[in-house]
Amino acid sequence: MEHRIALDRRANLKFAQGLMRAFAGAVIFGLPILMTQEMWSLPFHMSALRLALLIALFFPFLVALSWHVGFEETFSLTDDALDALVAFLVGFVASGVVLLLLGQLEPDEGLREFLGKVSLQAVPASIGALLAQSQFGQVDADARMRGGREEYFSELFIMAVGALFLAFNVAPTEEVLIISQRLGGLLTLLLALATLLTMHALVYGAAFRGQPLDHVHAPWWSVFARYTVVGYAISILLCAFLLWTFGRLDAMPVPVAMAAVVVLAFPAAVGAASARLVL
Amino acid sequence: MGSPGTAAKPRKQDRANEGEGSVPLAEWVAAACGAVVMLVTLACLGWLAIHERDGLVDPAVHVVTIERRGERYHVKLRVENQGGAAAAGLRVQAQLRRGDAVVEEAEVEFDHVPAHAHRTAGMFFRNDPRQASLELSVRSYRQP
Repeated sequence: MEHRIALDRRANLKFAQGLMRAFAGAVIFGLPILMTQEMWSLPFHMSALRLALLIALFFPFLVALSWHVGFEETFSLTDDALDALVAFLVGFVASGVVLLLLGQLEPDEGLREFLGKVSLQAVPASIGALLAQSQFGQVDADARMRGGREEYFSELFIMAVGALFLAFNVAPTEEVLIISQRLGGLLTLLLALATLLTMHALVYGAAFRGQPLDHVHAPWWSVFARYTVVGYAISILLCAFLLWTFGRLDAMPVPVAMAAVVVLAFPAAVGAASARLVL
Repeated sequence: MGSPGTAAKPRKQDRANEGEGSVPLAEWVAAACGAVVMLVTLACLGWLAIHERDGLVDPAVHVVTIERRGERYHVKLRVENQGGAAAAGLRVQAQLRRGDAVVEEAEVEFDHVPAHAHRTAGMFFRNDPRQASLELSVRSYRQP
């Protein structure tokens, strides 16, 4: 598709308005984590390579999210890539400004600390920036979500967004490791089962708006196998990746690391199952 | 409705007037800024990742100012970690000496001193550090 540059004032003003909304979304979605102490000290010791990997993998994720919450029927990579870049910029600037206001960016900050703090916080903030439209904008119920409600992978992707968002808010905290150490094997297993049950109740039982028709008509075991179990697996993988990125699993034997992943997967799975409600 | 970008794009009903696929100039500019920020971030993180490999903690400490505050003397010092690895709980000890005798001692601990970064701290002495020799030494640190 040819992308002409619109020079007229109205289109640019509308864009500026959208930008303001995106900033609001970035701040609202970013605030809980912008005010979490662990997030200020994390960039100081986490591996720069892992942070770079997180941001590099996050960008295609933002492009896909842009396509899902977007308005147009057609898929245009340029449009969605532009939206994702703008969202990242908004997330980056919003995080920087809020951290500055909170006194967490000192003038004598090194490059590593500055980049680490701001770019790490930009991840949830840019999700917020991108979602701001579906949150605050006037929503046309039918045109709101793209990708087709029946599209299975689309549904899974939305679950992944929900999981990532909630897991990102909890993963940096010490509490994940404290809880996993206190629980012990049996209780961790119980937590995993309870997570699956909660997830299934949210996916299948609670009829959230935007729920695929498929969930209503298909038998429970089919929904369980195709959505709950797969959604939980996605949550587990995302949690393991996040904890590894934050260096929380370093020098940990696999069973202990797995317990921490299961603990984090609890909020992640709830986020995944209720993503339709939030997004 | 869509993301920050799509919001600004003309809605379907407006499309007839404004033409398909036209993107406001402001969005191109913002997206270009976003691309620069993302690429610079990735490049810097990559650079840090290469330079911090097998990095060592290499702290140097020196006095910034000495001033009298009432009955006490305030020494502002600065520790610079020139190495490629971060240090936690970095302890700096100061001794005021006159000849062989230690007149006064003080110690300060820095929570975090990142790689290639500096931190400042203050110490108080009863004796004037300018009238004696002030020796600063880095004692210990933890891996973060």
